[in-house]
Amino acid sequence: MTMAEFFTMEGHGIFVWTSYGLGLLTFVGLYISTFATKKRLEKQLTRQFRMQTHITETNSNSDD
Amino acid sequence: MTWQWFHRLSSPKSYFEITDWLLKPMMLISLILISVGLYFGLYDSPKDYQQGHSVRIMYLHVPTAIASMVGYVVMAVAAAVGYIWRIKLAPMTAIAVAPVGAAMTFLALATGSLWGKPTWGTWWVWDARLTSELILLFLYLGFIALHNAFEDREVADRAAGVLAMVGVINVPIIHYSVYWWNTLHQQDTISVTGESLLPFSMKLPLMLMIFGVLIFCTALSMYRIRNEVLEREGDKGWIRERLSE
Repeated sequence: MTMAEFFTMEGHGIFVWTSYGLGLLTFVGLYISTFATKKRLEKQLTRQFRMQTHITETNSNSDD
Repeated sequence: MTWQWFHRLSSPKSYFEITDWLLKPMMLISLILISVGLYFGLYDSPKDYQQGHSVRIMYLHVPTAIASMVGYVVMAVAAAVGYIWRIKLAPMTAIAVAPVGAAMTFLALATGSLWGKPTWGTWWVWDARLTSELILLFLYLGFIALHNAFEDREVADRAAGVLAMVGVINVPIIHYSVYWWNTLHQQDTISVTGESLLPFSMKLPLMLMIFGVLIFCTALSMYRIRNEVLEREGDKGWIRERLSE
């Protein structure tokens, strides 16, 4: 099989490659959205915790 | 006493501990299965004597179609468990699986359409198999939309959960549609229990892709459940400890 034959697939290439192209896009999209959410939540929570710690520390300092 | 282990296992904290070491190997295994499956499916397997090379769409179409139905059953069972026993992780599982299942349903429909054109001469027909699979997509999207419509997560879980449970009736309809009605869509070629009609050279890439896609979807859904836990239980001390490590 030559390179060209592999891509044209005797005229069916357009259907086969569009299918797998859509598949790749969908899987990569799912992957990116999942890990972008993970990163966003972790960042958000870390900031939140840091602020809470800061508030507790300022409060306990003002008590002195 | 007998159920204590189950409750401990289904606590968000132990879920994180278990998935900490489980998810990366799962992702790696699915990647290997899919890569090898693609090599055989797209290159090192015969074309069909009637369909020609378009048969290669099968190696994506069948796995995504299976995943779309398995995903729905998982979502419906999780919704039911959450509804009845109020186990925290259950409704989180339902909403985490939904987008993955919807994506698989979309792919099954799209690749089916792209396979139908060169094989049947049409992109779409309203036969029972295609129509019931389209309804599956609407059920997934309806579940997600309904869940998003409520401010209160618990109310959202219960309302959307009812839709998930009622909609599960569609899954056996999809499966048996090709036997109950006279469809343009063919009947099953592979079977878990019975004789398979595929030669080994085609069955190998198909099996690799089925397991690869199912494991990938499972791992991704499990990552999404972890996201749900972070979203809902973010104020818990153990999460704080994890993130400060």
